Amino acid sequence: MSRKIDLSFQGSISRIALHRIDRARLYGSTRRIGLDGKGRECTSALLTRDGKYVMGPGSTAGMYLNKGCDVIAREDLARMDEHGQPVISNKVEPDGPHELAGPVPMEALLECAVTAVYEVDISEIDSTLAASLSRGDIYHAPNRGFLLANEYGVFLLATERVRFDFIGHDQQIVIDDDDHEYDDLGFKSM
Amino acid sequence: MIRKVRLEDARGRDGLVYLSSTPHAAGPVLHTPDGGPVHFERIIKNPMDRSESTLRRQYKNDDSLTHALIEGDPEIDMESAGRVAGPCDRVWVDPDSEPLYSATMMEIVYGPDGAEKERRALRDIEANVGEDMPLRWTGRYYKRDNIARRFAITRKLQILHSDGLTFDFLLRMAEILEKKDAFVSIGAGLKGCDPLILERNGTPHRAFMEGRMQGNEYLLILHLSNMELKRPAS
Repeated sequence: MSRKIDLSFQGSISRIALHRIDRARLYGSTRRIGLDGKGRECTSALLTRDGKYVMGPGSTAGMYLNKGCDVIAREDLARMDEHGQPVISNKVEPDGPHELAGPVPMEALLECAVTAVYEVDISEIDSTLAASLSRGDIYHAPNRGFLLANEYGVFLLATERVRFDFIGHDQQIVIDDDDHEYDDLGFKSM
Repeated sequence: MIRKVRLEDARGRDGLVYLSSTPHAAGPVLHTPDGGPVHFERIIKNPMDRSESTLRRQYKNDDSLTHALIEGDPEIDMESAGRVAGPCDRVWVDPDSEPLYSATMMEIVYGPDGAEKERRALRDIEANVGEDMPLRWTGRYYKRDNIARRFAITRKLQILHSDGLTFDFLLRMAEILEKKDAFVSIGAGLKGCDPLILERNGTPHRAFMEGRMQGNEYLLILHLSNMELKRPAS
């Protein structure tokens, strides 16, 4: 099933359907299964450490509890940063169409990592925008990602920015040593 | 995440360098509405011996099951419902809801259309990136535009020096790539033809290295892609 979003470009609005593309749709996929002695397909389940309860899919629920072990509903939870200040989500979707910015340089896209790929039907795009995309221009829709075209079609790439710094000779590379595999061998008690 | 890997330069000489991903910013901490602490717990709803499929096996037909549901609460285990599950182990359970001591592992392969293609014995695919498996400079250069349009770059890692010698080693790589204004394809395996598998049974990624200079500082980024930008066949 596809979602539809409105993109605004030079005053004209295109309503486009987004069809997500993933590796499974391009190259296929694999799934691991366990078989019992009779060759029947088994399901993965959880076993409590006391061995009393086996819980299949849907047999448990994740909940937030306060100090008194009362359940706090997700919508009532307050989000705070490390300084104890309330965090207001900036991922609020605008009510209106997404305004396309650009053309943007290729570097803007290369500074991001792609989190999702959507195919876009070019016939749903405004003709001026389609012509610009086919010339190789790239556009950016804030909160949405980048719109670009190649020989296969038009794609909307949802992205997140990845920032790296230049490295000098004196730069200290801090290695977080999290190799604690020998910590629980209990030599202290010997 | 930071790990030591062996990397080859354009002349086939290798050195031990670090691969690092960007640190993720700490996410917001959740609190009660009045600012008190909360903790996440997994709560038991109903164990498998009270699940619908188990009850259907216990009662021979829908009428007897319906009658039992009206008369009592066979779907609820009063002792466990609402209990905190605590740490659990993952087990395989057969169709009779009995845990198995061991299961035969298989892998089902699906085509792009979602249809099952084959079933085969599970085989582990080892990582091919590490201190004793050099990443190879293939000598195949690609324009930035070509990479950005052909591949979905889903992951990026920074290459860092581990000592003074590898600083010069990486600085030269960055210099070459900046002069060429191109990315170089980096491969794994003996001939450098294989995609990178960063962890055991991980997704293979094609890798392209970007190099930039700023005075006497360098920036080397490994752009990793696990899919092309193209339409599915169906």
